[in-house]
Amino acid sequence: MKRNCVFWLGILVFSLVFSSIASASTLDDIKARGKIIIGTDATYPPMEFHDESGEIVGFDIDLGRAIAEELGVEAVFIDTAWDGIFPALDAKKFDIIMSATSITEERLKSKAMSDPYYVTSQAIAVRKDNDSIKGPEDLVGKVVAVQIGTTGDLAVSEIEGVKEIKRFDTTDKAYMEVMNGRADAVVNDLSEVAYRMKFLPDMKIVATFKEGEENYGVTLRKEDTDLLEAINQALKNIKESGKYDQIYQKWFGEAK
Amino acid sequence: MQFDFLALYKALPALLVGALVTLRVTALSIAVGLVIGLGVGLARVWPNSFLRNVSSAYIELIRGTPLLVQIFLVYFGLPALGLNLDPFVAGVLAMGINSGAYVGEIVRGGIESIAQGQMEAALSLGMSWWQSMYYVILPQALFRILPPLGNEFIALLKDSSLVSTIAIAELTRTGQIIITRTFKSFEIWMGVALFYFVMTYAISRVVRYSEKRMRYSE
Repeated sequence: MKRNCVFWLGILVFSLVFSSIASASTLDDIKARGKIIIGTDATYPPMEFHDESGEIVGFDIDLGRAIAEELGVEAVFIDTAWDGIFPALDAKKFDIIMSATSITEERLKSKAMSDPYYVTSQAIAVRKDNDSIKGPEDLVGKVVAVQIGTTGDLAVSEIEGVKEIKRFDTTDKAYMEVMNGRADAVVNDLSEVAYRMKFLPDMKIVATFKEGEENYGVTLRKEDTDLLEAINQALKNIKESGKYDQIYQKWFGEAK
Repeated sequence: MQFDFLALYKALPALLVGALVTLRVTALSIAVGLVIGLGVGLARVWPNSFLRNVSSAYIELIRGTPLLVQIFLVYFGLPALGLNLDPFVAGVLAMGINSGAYVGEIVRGGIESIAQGQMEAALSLGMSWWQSMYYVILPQALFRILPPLGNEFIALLKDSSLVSTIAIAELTRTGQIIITRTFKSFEIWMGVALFYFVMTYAISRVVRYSEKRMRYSE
């Protein structure tokens, strides 16, 4: 099949040509287009979520805008599903991720992450009428609901003897699973769980663990070292200028 | 049972916007699918065996793999070859390529359902294969193609909910986003289902109507 060979050769040449074009530095690209494109899973209040008018808002969004301002560009947010967010970064669908992403060993193997900009813990939430869970050790033999691939998911996976871990693509489904009585507890970052409790009167936080071990960072592709440096510098400036405290106050209502 | 009508009512404008995105994705996918499907369907009955084999392979490959996987391949996979499409284009492309295979089979089935004698008669009148196909076979086949084509359009509209996974804010994704904020699963999913039903029902009415028109004009 000669024609087949020609066809595949064509595809190969085509792909080589295309992949060689996209080799300029991401930081240069950002400056050239005057925009930094930020991927976020806007289903995670108060870090990033859609408000009633459909606008994407939250702590990460304000911080992302502040970082863009430091870089002298505009921030554009792309709403994306959490379970595809890392592949989408690799596929250059956006320049960076700001989506309440904890810095972990595992993530640092394939991605670059900025200096931490927010510290939180893991929290366990249950139904108000449930008194059987008081700490992570009580999750043994229980059904736990989490968002897939989060540090909450990892934390529960580390506990031996959990009866079942139900992994959902968004956090709200995990809470609903507990409210509907099909799971005993939700485990997720305290920043998010605390905010959710304001709207879920039938649930309560019973414990926190991994205190101060959840450090959110900006996620980048590993090769973008110049961009990483620029973002770390921007974060430093934002903290020093008091802008960080303003944003913190706006979303968490207490000074840091 | 508690049904929070107010929550659904407040969600309606957003759902409507999502439904319009669903319609746009589906309409464009149908257009891509029709072009591919007509080509593939004709190639399947073509005298040339090379084209026949290529189109058979295409149909088998596409029909034998899930649409969700095809969407992920186009959106997350193609960038490895340097082809970085935005979600909307990737979604339409994946759905169009997928639909093309099914439309191809529908077209082939329609053509093959026309009695062999029709083609033979046309050829013996001195028409070329093309002329016979265009003037004699296709007009008759079109009538038989229409109902299964309507089914395919409806299936495609419903399958478009799969592109919510690459974060196109169509109807399903819009519903999900509202629920992540309000927790009103029952109300919002009912609303989403209602919007889908209105759209699919409209398609089936249009198809019925054009069938009737064609019957009269015969």
